[in-house]
Amino acid sequence: MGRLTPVCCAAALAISLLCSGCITISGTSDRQLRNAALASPLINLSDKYYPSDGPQTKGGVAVNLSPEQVREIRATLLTLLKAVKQTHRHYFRYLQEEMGSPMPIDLPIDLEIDPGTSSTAEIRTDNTIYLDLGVLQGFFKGAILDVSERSFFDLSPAKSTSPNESSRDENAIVQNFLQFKRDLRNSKGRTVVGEVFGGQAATDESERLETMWESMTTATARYLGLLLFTLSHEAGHYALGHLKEKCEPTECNRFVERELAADRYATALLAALVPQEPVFGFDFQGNAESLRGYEPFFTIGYEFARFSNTSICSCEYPLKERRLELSEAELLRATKRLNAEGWIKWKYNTPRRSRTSDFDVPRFQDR
Amino acid sequence: MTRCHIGLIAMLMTLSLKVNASGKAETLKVPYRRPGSAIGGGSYSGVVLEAEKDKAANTCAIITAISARSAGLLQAPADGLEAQKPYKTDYARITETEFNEYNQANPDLKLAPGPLYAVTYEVAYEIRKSFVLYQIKSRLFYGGRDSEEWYEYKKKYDDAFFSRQLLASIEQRFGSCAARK
Repeated sequence: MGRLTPVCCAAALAISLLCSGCITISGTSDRQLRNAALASPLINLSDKYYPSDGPQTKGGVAVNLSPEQVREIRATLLTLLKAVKQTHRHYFRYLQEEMGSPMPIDLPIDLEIDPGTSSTAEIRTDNTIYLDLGVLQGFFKGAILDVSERSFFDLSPAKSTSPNESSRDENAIVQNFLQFKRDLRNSKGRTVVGEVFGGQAATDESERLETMWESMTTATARYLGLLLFTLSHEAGHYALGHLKEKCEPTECNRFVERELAADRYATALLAALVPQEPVFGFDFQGNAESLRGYEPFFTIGYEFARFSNTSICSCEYPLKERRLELSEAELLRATKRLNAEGWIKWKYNTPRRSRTSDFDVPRFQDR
Repeated sequence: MTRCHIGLIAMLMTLSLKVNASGKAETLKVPYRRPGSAIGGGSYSGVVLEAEKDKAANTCAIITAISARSAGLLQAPADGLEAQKPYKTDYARITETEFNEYNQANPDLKLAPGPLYAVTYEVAYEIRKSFVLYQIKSRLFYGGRDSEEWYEYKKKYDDAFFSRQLLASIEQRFGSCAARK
């Protein structure tokens, strides 16, 4: 006890000096930003897609995940699907009016992850959305490359030790992101920038970290947007009764109509979901547009998921530029309707729930 | 328990795996997927099975596979085979090639040359979410070259060998049966 007393006194003195402003701790805000960056869903998801103990490909990026790792990814996706289902339930009357089509109140849809690499993201007649792991990893890789393009921190392939083959460049960028994450986690010193970036430390560290934080937030929003748009599009096929129709090579016009309708449904639904703040317990600030997903889907997701333009029934998908344009138009229309006629009017008050909040947005499942 | 005892038990356990008396069914999961609506084109592989074709596709796969072995079902419902219900076949003669293949695969459980051999099967299928589960039990019989009678083979033999042959044949036919209009 006698030995503790001086320590307690010193601590009390330090706290009082701190409070009075006599002492300032340089780097405190850096650390807060570091911790916030590490709590970012992008970082957490990268642990799931690229676990350090995962099997490695030649390019050094984990591709074959264990069943347990796949289950973790599925749990994340189920959280997003739950948000889509809830939004549909709350706003199904608005959606019906928007789409001009009767719809069920509930979407009894399940979700499975295909462990293969067949570039599949579809809802099947067993009312289950199947997402191929290759597609999900492609989406995630796209989100990281997006960071690379817009961020101050260097993820260029030149830093990679992997062989210089063009197909590996993407993997090299992912590798550098993973290295950056490891460095960020291991940083213990006075400032984060000094440790993580070493000689590259900028004159204004706080500014650099803020830029990093913004980049991470944007990339996370765009990644979640990709997933939300994909899930909403597939949910749209169910809600609009498309699963009762067959995909026939002789009826490609109808196929195109269905795809565009599902895009419109997804955009209208996300127009209702996204303005609720915060989304998934995470403050996306000015990234609502990305969270609505259609833009990152058509500009990043389509390419990185390796989607082709030909469907299983040999019909051609509408051009992604056209889909992007029509989704944008739908967003404007849907938002106008929601704003003009009021959100409350459209809300479906289910008697089974006794929620105090307007909207039950599940929190993002962090590790 | 001595090392000798443990060794003896292990040996007996190994032998028991090969005994036909177990009546254990061999199973095979054949993957399929339902038709769907995708957000973008992908590279598809595997069998696409429409829900309304479950019964017809599986009936087709099982019956054509059994027919290819020159056998038939003892009771074949006109409207197709029900899922989760076992169906028995009559005798499927073992050809000379199959006889040689069996003896080559089972040097410890060789069938003696001389008599004719035939197998009866008990087949069942079950539709699961992403695959069809087929279960087959096989029973071996023998008969004289001049006799029409078949007698159950009482010695040890590898019944799984015959079950696996039929399972492979069903799997091979499943895709084309599912694609039938």
